[in-house]
Amino acid sequence: MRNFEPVFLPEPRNLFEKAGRMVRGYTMAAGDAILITIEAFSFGRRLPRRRAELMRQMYACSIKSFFIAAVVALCMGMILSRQAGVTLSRFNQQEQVGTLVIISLVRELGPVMTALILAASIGSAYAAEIGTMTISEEVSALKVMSINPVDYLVSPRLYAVLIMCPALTMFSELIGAFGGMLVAKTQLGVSPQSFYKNAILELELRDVYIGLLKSILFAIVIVTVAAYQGLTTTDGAVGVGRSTRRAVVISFLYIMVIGFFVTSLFY
Amino acid sequence: MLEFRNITRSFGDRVVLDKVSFNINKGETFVIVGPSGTGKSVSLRIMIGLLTPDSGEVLLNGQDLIAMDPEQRSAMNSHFGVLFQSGALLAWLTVAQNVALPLLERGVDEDEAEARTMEALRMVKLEHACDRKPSEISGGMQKRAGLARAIVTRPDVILYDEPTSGLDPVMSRHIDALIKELQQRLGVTSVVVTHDLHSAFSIGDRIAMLSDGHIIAMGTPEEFCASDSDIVQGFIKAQFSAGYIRGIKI
Ligand SMILES: Nc1ncnc2c1ncn2[C@@H]1O[C@H](COP(=O)(O)OP(=O)(O)O)[C@@H](O)[C@H]1O
Ligand SMILES: [Mg+2]
Repeated sequence: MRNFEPVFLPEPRNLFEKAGRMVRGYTMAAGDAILITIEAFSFGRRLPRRRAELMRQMYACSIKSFFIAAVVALCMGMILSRQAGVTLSRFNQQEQVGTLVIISLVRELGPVMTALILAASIGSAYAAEIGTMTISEEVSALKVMSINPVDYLVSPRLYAVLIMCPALTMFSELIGAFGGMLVAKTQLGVSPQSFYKNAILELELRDVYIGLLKSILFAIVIVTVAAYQGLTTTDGAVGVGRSTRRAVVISFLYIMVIGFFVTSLFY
Repeated sequence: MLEFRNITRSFGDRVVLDKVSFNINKGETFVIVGPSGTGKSVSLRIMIGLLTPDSGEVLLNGQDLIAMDPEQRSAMNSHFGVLFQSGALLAWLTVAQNVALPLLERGVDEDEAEARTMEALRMVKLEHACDRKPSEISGGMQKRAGLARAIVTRPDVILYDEPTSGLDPVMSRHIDALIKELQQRLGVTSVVVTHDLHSAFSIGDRIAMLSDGHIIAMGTPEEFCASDSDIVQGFIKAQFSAGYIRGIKI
C-alpha cells in the first residue's frame, strides 16, 4: 500500500531543466501506473471474495455504455456501408460491401470505438469516483483499516472491464454489421445473404482474435489510467475535474497508439 | 505509548512541522489544538503512516513506525482506529456494512462481525440507522458511524481529526460526551486534533498547541491556560470571551 505524495522541486532554471522535469514526471507516473496494474492483476486471487463487487461493476459498466455503444456502432456500420457502397458500385463491386464493412469493424473500428466509448463513460466515472474518495479521505480510511485500495477498488473494476470490453466490442460489431446490411439492402440493392456470405468467406478467425486482443489491452489502459488519476487526485473538487479530464485524454491517446502498434505487428 | 521525536515535514518551501516532539501516555486523551492550516492533520497522518516525515521518529510502544518495512507497518494498523474529518464512509454501503467492513476484510466470520458491528453501533447510539446509506443521515450521524467503524476493531489508540468541525454546538457537545464515554468504557488512548477549545477543555487530559511548526504550549488544561505565550492566550480569548472553564479563570 503506497501513499502517493506530491513531489516538490524548485523552479526549473532553464528550458533543459524544464524538459527534464517533464520527462521525469511522465516516467514516474507511467511507472506508478504500471505498478498499480500489476498489483490489481495479482489481487485477482481475491476476486472470489469480491464477487458481489465484481458483479456490481460489470452491471454498471454495461448499463452506462450499452446504449451509446449500440447507437454509435449502428451509425458507424451504416456510414461505412454507404461510403464503401458508393465507391464499390463505380466498379460494379457492390456485392463486396459486406466484406469491407465487416472486416473494418472486426479488425479496427469495433475495438477502437468501443474502447473510446468506455474510456469516456467508464474511465471518466472511475477517475471521478476514486478521485472523490481520495480527497474525502475514504481511500485513507481504507488504508488505515489495512485494506489496500488497489485490491478493494481497482481490482474489481479492472476485471469487470476486462470482461465487459471484449463483450461490448463483439456486440458493437454485430450491431455495426447489421447497420451496414440495412443500408446495403435499401440503398445499394445488395441482399442480406450476399452481404453476410461474402464477409464470412473473407473473414478469418485470426481477425476476431486480434480484435479481441486489442480490446483487452484497451481495457487495461482505461482502468489503469483512471485508477492512477483517481488515486493521485489532490486539490479538492477542481482536482477531481482535472483527474477526470486527464483520464479521458490520456486513455484516448493510448488507445490510438496501442491500436496502431498492434495492427502493424499483426498485419 | 505513542511518541513523536523531532518530526519534521515540509511541503516545498513550507515547513509545516519543525522538529516536533511529544509523548502520549497510555490511557490519556491528548488534544492537539491550533488554528486551521497549522499542520494538525499532517501530524495525525504521520502518526498513522499516511504521510512520511522528512526526518524524525514515530514510536509506538518503543517501536519506530517510520523505519518499518511496509508489511510490518501494515500490521501495526490494527493498533489504530481513526475518525476522519468527514467520516469517510463508503457511499455505496449501508452504515452497518461500513462498520462491518474492517472486520470482514480481516476474515472475522459473519456472525461475529454482525454482533460486534451492532455492539459498536449501540455504543455510538446509531443502531436505529444501521440500514441507511451515509448520504441519508446527518453529518453528526456520519461522524458517529465513522467512530463506530474506528472502534469496532478494538484498537489501542483512537485518533480523531476535527471530531466537532461542521457540527452544531449541541451535536458537538454530544460528540465530546461520546469521546469521553468511549475513553472510559474501552480504556483506550485517544489523540484528538481540533481547533475547538470547548471540546479540547472538556475531553483533554493534556493539551498541546501547534503554531508555526512548533509546539508552543503543552500540559494539563490548567497548565495550558496558564501559559504565558501571547499566541496561546489570543487563541483562548478568541473562543472564550470571559469567565471560567472547569473552574479556571481565563
Ligand atoms: N498534500 C499536501 N500538499 C501540499 N501541502 C499540504 C499537503 N497537506 C498539507 N499541506 C499543507 O500543510 C499545511 C497544514 O495542513 P493541515 O495539517 O491539513 O492543517 P490543519 O491544521 O488545519 O489540519 C497546510 O497549510 C497545507 O498547505
Ligand atoms: Mg485538518
